[in-house]
Amino acid sequence: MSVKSDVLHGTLDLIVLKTLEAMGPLHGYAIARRIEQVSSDQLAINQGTLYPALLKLGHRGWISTKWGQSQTGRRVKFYAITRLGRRQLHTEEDDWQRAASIVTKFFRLAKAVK
Amino acid sequence: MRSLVARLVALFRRRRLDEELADEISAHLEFAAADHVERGLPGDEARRTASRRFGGARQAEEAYRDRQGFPLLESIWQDGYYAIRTLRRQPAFTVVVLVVLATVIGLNTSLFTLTAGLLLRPWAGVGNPSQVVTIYPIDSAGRASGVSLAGYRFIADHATSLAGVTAMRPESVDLGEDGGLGKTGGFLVSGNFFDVLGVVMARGRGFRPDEDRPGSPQAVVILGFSLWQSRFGGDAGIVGARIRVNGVPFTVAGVAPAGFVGPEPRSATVFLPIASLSLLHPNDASAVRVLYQPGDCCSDVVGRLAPGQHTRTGGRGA
Repeated sequence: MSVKSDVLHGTLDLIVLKTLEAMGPLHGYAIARRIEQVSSDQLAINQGTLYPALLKLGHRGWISTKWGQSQTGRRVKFYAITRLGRRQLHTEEDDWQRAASIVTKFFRLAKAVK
Repeated sequence: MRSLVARLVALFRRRRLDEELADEISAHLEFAAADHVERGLPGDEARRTASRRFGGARQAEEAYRDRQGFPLLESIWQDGYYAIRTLRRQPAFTVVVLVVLATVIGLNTSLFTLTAGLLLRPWAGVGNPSQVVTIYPIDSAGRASGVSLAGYRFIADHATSLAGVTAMRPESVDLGEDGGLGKTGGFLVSGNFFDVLGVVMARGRGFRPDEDRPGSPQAVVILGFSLWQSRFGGDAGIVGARIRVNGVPFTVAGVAPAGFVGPEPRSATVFLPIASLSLLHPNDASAVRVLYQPGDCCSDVVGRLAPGQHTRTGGRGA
Protein backbone atom coordinates (compact mmCIF):
# COMPACT_ATOMS: atom_id res chain seq x y z
CA MET A 1 0.00 0.00 0.00
CA SER A 2 1.78 3.09 -1.19
CA VAL A 3 -0.72 5.75 -0.24
CA LYS A 4 -1.68 6.05 3.41
CA SER A 5 -5.34 5.25 3.74
CA ASP A 6 -7.75 7.26 5.79
CA VAL A 7 -9.32 5.56 8.71
CA LEU A 8 -12.26 3.66 7.38
CA HIS A 9 -15.36 5.64 8.10
CA GLY A 10 -16.87 4.73 11.44
CA THR A 11 -14.00 2.54 12.54
CA LEU A 12 -12.01 5.13 14.48
CA ASP A 13 -14.17 4.53 17.57
CA LEU A 14 -13.51 0.83 17.35
CA ILE A 15 -9.79 1.33 16.87
CA VAL A 16 -9.54 3.72 19.81
CA LEU A 17 -11.47 1.40 22.11
CA LYS A 18 -9.34 -1.59 21.07
CA THR A 19 -6.15 0.40 21.62
CA LEU A 20 -7.24 1.46 25.11
CA GLU A 21 -8.26 -2.10 25.95
CA ALA A 22 -4.90 -3.45 24.86
CA MET A 23 -2.68 -0.71 26.29
CA GLY A 24 -4.51 0.54 29.38
CA PRO A 25 -4.90 4.29 30.04
CA LEU A 26 -3.18 6.50 27.44
CA HIS A 27 -3.10 10.20 26.67
CA GLY A 28 -4.26 11.58 23.33
CA TYR A 29 -0.91 11.68 21.57
CA ALA A 30 -0.02 8.18 22.75
CA ILE A 31 -3.30 6.88 21.32
CA ALA A 32 -2.56 8.55 17.97
CA ARG A 33 1.01 7.21 17.90
CA ARG A 34 -0.10 3.74 18.89
CA ILE A 35 -2.64 3.60 16.08
CA GLU A 36 -0.02 4.68 13.57
CA GLN A 37 2.50 2.16 14.89
CA VAL A 38 0.10 -0.76 14.92
CA SER A 39 -0.89 -0.01 11.34
CA SER A 40 2.84 0.24 10.52
CA ASP A 41 2.23 3.88 9.66
CA GLN A 42 -0.18 2.88 6.93
CA LEU A 43 -3.13 4.46 8.69
CA ALA A 44 -2.84 8.19 8.84
CA ILE A 45 -5.35 9.55 11.26
CA ASN A 46 -5.82 13.24 11.01
CA GLN A 47 -4.70 13.58 14.56
CA GLY A 48 -7.03 16.49 15.23
CA THR A 49 -10.09 14.33 14.60
CA LEU A 50 -9.04 12.09 17.44
CA TYR A 51 -10.20 14.53 20.13
CA PRO A 52 -13.81 14.93 19.00
CA ALA A 53 -13.94 11.14 18.75
CA LEU A 54 -12.60 10.81 22.29
CA LEU A 55 -15.17 13.31 23.53
CA LYS A 56 -17.98 11.35 21.90
CA LEU A 57 -16.79 8.11 23.42
CA GLY A 58 -16.68 9.85 26.81
CA HIS A 59 -20.22 11.13 26.41
CA ARG A 60 -21.40 7.62 25.68
CA GLY A 61 -19.71 6.38 28.81
CA TRP A 62 -17.37 4.06 26.91
CA ILE A 63 -14.20 5.73 28.12
CA SER A 64 -13.31 7.71 31.24
CA THR A 65 -10.84 10.54 31.57
CA LYS A 66 -8.43 11.52 34.30
CA TRP A 67 -5.70 14.13 34.49
CA GLY A 68 -2.25 12.81 35.26
CA GLN A 69 1.42 13.17 34.35
CA SER A 70 3.16 11.87 31.28
CA GLN A 71 6.57 10.16 31.49
CA THR A 72 8.15 13.52 30.77
CA GLY A 73 6.24 15.13 33.64
CA ARG A 74 3.78 17.02 31.43
CA ARG A 75 0.22 17.37 32.77
CA VAL A 76 -1.96 15.36 30.38
CA LYS A 77 -5.39 13.85 30.21
CA PHE A 78 -5.48 10.07 30.30
CA TYR A 79 -8.21 8.05 28.66
CA ALA A 80 -9.23 4.59 29.86
CA ILE A 81 -11.83 2.16 28.60
CA THR A 82 -14.81 1.54 30.92
CA ARG A 83 -16.74 -1.65 31.49
CA LEU A 84 -19.49 -0.31 29.26
CA GLY A 85 -16.85 0.44 26.63
CA ARG A 86 -15.48 -3.08 26.80
CA ARG A 87 -18.92 -4.55 26.27
CA GLN A 88 -19.46 -2.23 23.30
CA LEU A 89 -16.08 -3.10 21.90
CA HIS A 90 -16.76 -6.84 22.01
CA THR A 91 -20.12 -6.44 20.31
CA GLU A 92 -18.58 -4.33 17.58
CA GLU A 93 -15.58 -6.60 17.27
CA ASP A 94 -17.85 -9.60 16.64
CA ASP A 95 -19.86 -7.64 14.12
CA TRP A 96 -16.72 -6.56 12.39
CA GLN A 97 -15.27 -10.08 12.21
CA ARG A 98 -18.47 -11.42 10.79
CA ALA A 99 -18.73 -8.67 8.17
CA ALA A 100 -15.05 -9.03 7.25
CA SER A 101 -15.29 -12.79 6.88
CA ILE A 102 -18.31 -12.50 4.62
CA VAL A 103 -16.50 -10.01 2.38
CA THR A 104 -13.40 -12.25 2.38
CA LYS A 105 -15.51 -15.23 1.28
CA PHE A 106 -16.79 -13.26 -1.67
CA PHE A 107 -13.27 -12.41 -2.74
CA ARG A 108 -12.20 -16.09 -2.47
CA LEU A 109 -15.22 -17.15 -4.46
CA ALA A 110 -14.47 -14.61 -7.16
CA LYS A 111 -10.88 -15.88 -7.37
CA ALA A 112 -12.03 -19.51 -7.67
CA VAL A 113 -14.44 -18.71 -10.48
CA LYS A 114 -11.73 -16.92 -12.36
CA MET B 1 -29.48 10.57 27.78
CA ARG B 2 -25.97 10.35 29.16
CA SER B 3 -24.83 12.38 26.17
CA LEU B 4 -27.47 15.03 26.90
CA VAL B 5 -26.30 15.38 30.49
CA ALA B 6 -22.70 15.67 29.35
CA ARG B 7 -23.69 18.41 26.91
CA LEU B 8 -25.58 20.29 29.60
CA VAL B 9 -22.59 20.14 31.90
CA ALA B 10 -20.41 21.33 29.04
CA LEU B 11 -22.66 24.31 28.48
CA PHE B 12 -21.99 25.64 31.95
CA ARG B 13 -18.33 24.69 32.13
CA ARG B 14 -17.50 26.02 28.69
CA ARG B 15 -14.47 28.07 29.67
CA ARG B 16 -12.82 25.31 31.67
CA LEU B 17 -13.43 22.73 28.98
CA ASP B 18 -11.98 25.07 26.37
CA GLU B 19 -8.87 25.54 28.44
CA GLU B 20 -8.56 21.81 28.97
CA LEU B 21 -8.81 21.16 25.27
CA ALA B 22 -6.23 23.84 24.43
CA ASP B 23 -3.93 22.26 27.00
CA GLU B 24 -4.48 18.79 25.58
CA ILE B 25 -3.73 19.95 22.06
CA SER B 26 -0.58 21.75 23.06
CA ALA B 27 0.59 18.66 24.96
CA HIS B 28 -0.09 16.63 21.85
CA LEU B 29 1.94 19.00 19.67
CA GLU B 30 4.82 19.03 22.17
CA PHE B 31 4.99 15.25 22.22
CA ALA B 32 4.81 15.07 18.45
CA ALA B 33 7.53 17.68 18.00
CA ALA B 34 9.74 15.86 20.48
CA ASP B 35 9.27 12.62 18.52
CA HIS B 36 10.22 14.34 15.28
CA VAL B 37 13.31 15.85 16.89
CA GLU B 38 14.30 12.40 18.07
CA ARG B 39 14.06 11.22 14.48
CA GLY B 40 16.50 13.89 13.47
CA LEU B 41 14.42 16.87 12.41
CA PRO B 42 15.55 20.31 13.54
CA GLY B 43 13.32 21.96 16.19
CA ASP B 44 11.46 24.33 13.86
CA GLU B 45 10.84 21.71 11.27
CA ALA B 46 9.71 19.26 13.94
CA ARG B 47 7.14 21.70 15.27
CA ARG B 48 5.81 22.47 11.81
CA THR B 49 5.49 18.80 10.97
CA ALA B 50 3.70 18.10 14.24
CA SER B 51 1.30 20.92 13.48
CA ARG B 52 0.67 19.68 9.96
CA ARG B 53 0.05 16.12 11.06
CA PHE B 54 -2.39 17.34 13.62
CA GLY B 55 -4.47 19.04 10.94
CA GLY B 56 -5.64 22.56 11.76
CA ALA B 57 -5.87 22.87 15.50
CA ARG B 58 -8.64 25.45 15.03
CA GLN B 59 -10.81 23.05 13.08
CA ALA B 60 -10.24 20.39 15.70
CA GLU B 61 -11.37 22.76 18.41
CA GLU B 62 -14.46 23.70 16.41
CA ALA B 63 -15.35 20.09 15.73
CA TYR B 64 -14.79 19.33 19.39
CA ARG B 65 -17.04 22.19 20.37
CA ASP B 66 -19.85 21.09 18.08
CA ARG B 67 -19.93 17.86 20.00
CA GLN B 68 -20.00 19.73 23.27
CA GLY B 69 -22.86 21.81 24.58
CA PHE B 70 -25.59 23.11 22.26
CA PRO B 71 -24.15 25.05 19.31
CA LEU B 72 -27.49 26.74 18.50
CA LEU B 73 -28.04 27.89 22.07
CA GLU B 74 -24.54 29.22 22.18
CA SER B 75 -24.84 31.17 18.97
CA ILE B 76 -28.03 32.75 20.33
CA TRP B 77 -26.11 33.66 23.45
CA GLN B 78 -23.35 35.13 21.31
CA ASP B 79 -25.85 37.22 19.35
CA GLY B 80 -27.35 38.49 22.59
CA TYR B 81 -23.93 39.30 23.95
CA TYR B 82 -23.05 41.15 20.76
CA ALA B 83 -26.27 43.19 21.03
CA ILE B 84 -25.48 44.14 24.62
CA ARG B 85 -21.97 45.22 23.68
CA THR B 86 -23.28 47.36 20.83
CA LEU B 87 -25.85 48.98 23.10
CA ARG B 88 -23.21 49.66 25.72
CA ARG B 89 -21.10 51.45 23.15
CA GLN B 90 -23.96 53.92 22.52
CA PRO B 91 -25.29 54.68 26.00
CA ALA B 92 -27.37 57.72 25.03
CA PHE B 93 -29.19 55.81 22.34
CA THR B 94 -29.71 52.90 24.71
CA VAL B 95 -31.12 55.10 27.46
CA VAL B 96 -33.55 56.77 25.05
CA VAL B 97 -34.72 53.42 23.70
CA LEU B 98 -35.14 51.97 27.18
CA VAL B 99 -37.05 54.99 28.45
CA VAL B 100 -39.35 54.98 25.44
CA LEU B 101 -39.98 51.26 25.72
CA ALA B 102 -40.57 51.41 29.48
CA THR B 103 -42.92 54.37 29.16
CA VAL B 104 -44.95 52.89 26.38
CA ILE B 105 -45.23 49.47 27.96
CA GLY B 106 -46.11 51.01 31.32
CA LEU B 107 -48.70 53.31 29.80
CA ASN B 108 -50.24 50.49 27.85
CA THR B 109 -50.46 48.30 30.93
CA SER B 110 -52.00 50.97 33.13
CA LEU B 111 -54.49 52.01 30.45
CA PHE B 112 -55.53 48.43 29.98
CA THR B 113 -55.86 47.90 33.73
CA LEU B 114 -57.93 51.06 34.00
CA THR B 115 -60.14 50.15 31.08
CA ALA B 116 -60.64 46.62 32.32
CA GLY B 117 -61.46 47.87 35.81
CA LEU B 118 -63.80 50.64 34.72
CA LEU B 119 -65.50 49.30 31.66
CA LEU B 120 -64.99 45.62 31.17
CA ARG B 121 -65.34 43.99 34.54
CA PRO B 122 -68.84 43.84 35.98
CA TRP B 123 -69.28 45.65 39.27
CA ALA B 124 -68.48 43.54 42.24
CA GLY B 125 -71.45 42.90 44.51
CA VAL B 126 -74.10 43.48 41.85
CA GLY B 127 -76.71 40.76 41.45
CA ASN B 128 -77.05 39.30 37.92
CA PRO B 129 -74.67 41.81 36.31
CA SER B 130 -75.44 40.52 32.81
CA GLN B 131 -78.91 42.17 33.01
CA VAL B 132 -77.46 45.53 33.94
CA VAL B 133 -77.02 48.03 31.12
CA THR B 134 -75.64 51.54 30.94
CA ILE B 135 -77.83 54.09 29.17
CA TYR B 136 -76.46 56.83 26.93
CA PRO B 137 -78.52 59.14 24.79
CA ILE B 138 -77.07 59.41 21.29
CA ASP B 139 -77.14 62.97 19.98
CA SER B 140 -77.83 63.96 16.37
CA ALA B 141 -74.16 63.66 15.51
CA GLY B 142 -74.15 60.07 16.72
CA ARG B 143 -72.10 60.82 19.83
CA ALA B 144 -72.95 59.32 23.19
CA SER B 145 -73.67 62.07 25.68
CA GLY B 146 -74.60 62.29 29.35
CA VAL B 147 -78.00 62.32 30.97
CA SER B 148 -79.44 65.09 33.12
CA LEU B 149 -81.43 64.13 36.19
CA ALA B 150 -84.56 65.40 34.46
CA GLY B 151 -83.67 63.13 31.55
CA TYR B 152 -83.16 60.27 33.96
CA ARG B 153 -86.65 60.72 35.41
CA PHE B 154 -88.09 60.73 31.91
CA ILE B 155 -86.32 57.48 31.07
CA ALA B 156 -87.38 55.91 34.37
CA ASP B 157 -91.00 56.79 33.70
CA HIS B 158 -91.12 55.66 30.07
CA ALA B 159 -88.73 52.77 29.57
CA THR B 160 -90.72 49.60 29.01
CA SER B 161 -87.89 47.18 28.45
CA LEU B 162 -86.26 47.98 31.77
CA ALA B 163 -87.31 46.56 35.12
CA GLY B 164 -85.66 49.48 36.86
CA VAL B 165 -83.48 52.50 36.13
CA THR B 166 -81.14 54.19 38.55
CA ALA B 167 -78.94 57.28 38.37
CA MET B 168 -75.72 58.21 40.11
CA ARG B 169 -73.25 61.05 40.13
CA PRO B 170 -70.00 61.44 42.01
CA GLU B 171 -69.95 63.89 44.90
CA SER B 172 -67.12 64.34 47.35
CA VAL B 173 -68.09 65.25 50.89
CA ASP B 174 -66.52 66.07 54.23
CA LEU B 175 -67.18 63.58 56.98
CA GLY B 176 -67.37 64.13 60.74
CA GLU B 177 -67.53 67.18 62.98
CA ASP B 178 -65.89 70.03 61.01
CA GLY B 179 -64.82 67.47 58.43
CA GLY B 180 -62.69 65.76 61.09
CA LEU B 181 -63.00 62.36 59.41
CA GLY B 182 -61.70 63.73 56.16
CA LYS B 183 -62.92 64.22 52.63
CA THR B 184 -64.16 61.19 50.82
CA GLY B 185 -65.29 60.45 47.30
CA GLY B 186 -68.94 59.53 47.46
CA PHE B 187 -71.89 58.98 45.15
CA LEU B 188 -75.28 60.62 44.97
CA VAL B 189 -77.67 57.90 43.90
CA SER B 190 -81.34 57.61 43.18
CA GLY B 191 -83.52 56.06 45.88
CA ASN B 192 -83.87 52.73 44.06
CA PHE B 193 -80.12 52.36 43.49
CA PHE B 194 -79.48 49.33 45.71
CA ASP B 195 -82.74 47.64 44.68
CA VAL B 196 -82.12 47.97 40.96
CA LEU B 197 -78.57 46.70 41.27
CA GLY B 198 -79.60 43.86 43.56
CA VAL B 199 -77.01 44.68 46.18
CA VAL B 200 -77.31 42.71 49.41
CA MET B 201 -76.36 45.08 52.23
CA ALA B 202 -73.79 44.12 54.84
CA ARG B 203 -75.64 46.01 57.58
CA GLY B 204 -78.99 47.76 57.71
CA ARG B 205 -80.81 48.51 54.46
CA GLY B 206 -80.48 50.33 51.16
CA PHE B 207 -82.31 53.58 50.38
CA ARG B 208 -86.08 53.66 50.02
CA PRO B 209 -87.53 55.49 47.01
CA ASP B 210 -89.28 57.95 49.31
CA GLU B 211 -85.91 59.04 50.69
CA ASP B 212 -85.02 60.57 47.33
CA ARG B 213 -87.82 63.03 46.62
CA PRO B 214 -86.48 66.41 45.47
CA GLY B 215 -89.25 68.14 47.43
CA SER B 216 -88.57 66.40 50.74
CA PRO B 217 -84.91 65.42 51.03
CA GLN B 218 -84.04 62.95 53.76
CA ALA B 219 -80.72 63.01 55.65
CA VAL B 220 -79.79 59.35 55.31
CA VAL B 221 -76.44 57.93 54.30
CA ILE B 222 -75.09 54.50 53.42
CA LEU B 223 -71.45 53.74 54.13
CA GLY B 224 -69.14 51.82 51.87
CA PHE B 225 -67.74 48.74 53.55
CA SER B 226 -64.12 49.80 53.62
CA LEU B 227 -64.99 53.30 54.83
CA TRP B 228 -67.04 51.71 57.63
CA GLN B 229 -64.01 49.61 58.53
CA SER B 230 -61.38 52.32 58.24
CA ARG B 231 -63.13 55.38 59.70
CA PHE B 232 -65.66 53.79 62.02
CA GLY B 233 -63.69 50.74 63.11
CA GLY B 234 -66.39 48.39 61.79
CA ASP B 235 -68.67 49.58 64.61
CA ALA B 236 -71.52 47.03 64.82
CA GLY B 237 -73.94 49.67 66.13
CA ILE B 238 -73.37 52.03 63.22
CA VAL B 239 -76.86 51.61 61.73
CA GLY B 240 -79.09 54.33 63.14
CA ALA B 241 -76.12 56.39 64.32
CA ARG B 242 -75.81 59.98 63.19
CA ILE B 243 -72.70 61.18 61.40
CA ARG B 244 -71.99 64.58 59.95
CA VAL B 245 -71.74 64.93 56.20
CA ASN B 246 -70.64 68.41 55.07
CA GLY B 247 -71.43 69.38 58.67
CA VAL B 248 -75.07 68.26 58.39
CA PRO B 249 -76.20 65.36 60.61
CA PHE B 250 -77.16 62.29 58.54
CA THR B 251 -78.50 58.99 59.83
CA VAL B 252 -76.67 55.86 58.75
CA ALA B 253 -79.23 53.58 57.10
CA GLY B 254 -76.87 50.76 56.17
CA VAL B 255 -73.48 49.54 55.09
CA ALA B 256 -72.79 48.35 51.56
CA PRO B 257 -71.24 44.87 51.24
CA ALA B 258 -67.49 44.36 51.06
CA GLY B 259 -66.28 44.71 47.49
CA PHE B 260 -69.17 46.89 46.37
CA VAL B 261 -67.76 50.34 45.79
CA GLY B 262 -70.16 51.72 43.23
CA PRO B 263 -69.45 52.25 39.56
CA GLU B 264 -65.84 53.29 39.97
CA PRO B 265 -63.14 51.29 41.68
CA ARG B 266 -62.55 53.62 44.61
CA SER B 267 -61.83 52.45 48.08
CA ALA B 268 -63.60 54.83 50.46
CA THR B 269 -67.14 55.71 49.48
CA VAL B 270 -70.39 56.94 50.95
CA PHE B 271 -73.75 56.83 49.19
CA LEU B 272 -76.30 59.63 49.57
CA PRO B 273 -79.72 60.20 48.03
CA ILE B 274 -79.58 62.58 45.08
CA ALA B 275 -82.25 64.73 46.67
CA SER B 276 -80.00 65.35 49.67
CA LEU B 277 -77.99 67.72 47.46
CA SER B 278 -80.05 70.56 48.89
CA LEU B 279 -79.07 69.49 52.42
CA LEU B 280 -75.40 69.10 51.53
CA HIS B 281 -75.25 72.56 49.94
CA PRO B 282 -77.80 74.60 51.89
CA ASN B 283 -76.32 77.90 50.76
CA ASP B 284 -75.64 77.06 47.14
CA ALA B 285 -78.71 77.40 44.92
CA SER B 286 -76.76 76.36 41.83
CA ALA B 287 -76.02 72.99 43.35
CA VAL B 288 -79.70 72.24 43.53
CA ARG B 289 -80.41 73.35 39.98
CA VAL B 290 -78.92 70.11 38.73
CA LEU B 291 -81.92 68.31 40.22
CA TYR B 292 -84.39 69.99 37.88
CA GLN B 293 -82.68 71.54 34.85
CA PRO B 294 -82.85 69.27 31.80
CA GLY B 295 -79.71 70.95 30.47
CA ASP B 296 -77.64 70.14 33.57
CA CYS B 297 -75.54 67.21 32.63
CA CYS B 298 -74.37 64.62 33.55
CA SER B 299 -75.33 61.65 35.60
CA ASP B 300 -74.65 58.02 34.89
CA VAL B 301 -77.80 56.07 34.23
CA VAL B 302 -77.93 52.35 34.62
CA GLY B 303 -80.87 50.05 34.10
CA ARG B 304 -81.76 46.46 34.73
CA LEU B 305 -83.39 44.74 31.78
CA ALA B 306 -86.90 43.47 32.31
CA PRO B 307 -87.23 39.66 32.25
CA GLY B 308 -87.15 38.33 28.69
CA GLN B 309 -85.35 41.39 27.33
CA HIS B 310 -81.97 41.09 25.70
CA THR B 311 -79.41 43.76 25.25
CA ARG B 312 -80.35 44.21 21.60
CA THR B 313 -84.09 44.79 22.06
CA GLY B 314 -83.47 46.78 25.22
CA GLY B 315 -81.59 49.32 23.15
CA ARG B 316 -84.69 50.10 21.07
CA GLY B 317 -87.41 49.74 23.66
CA ALA B 318 -86.77 52.98 25.52
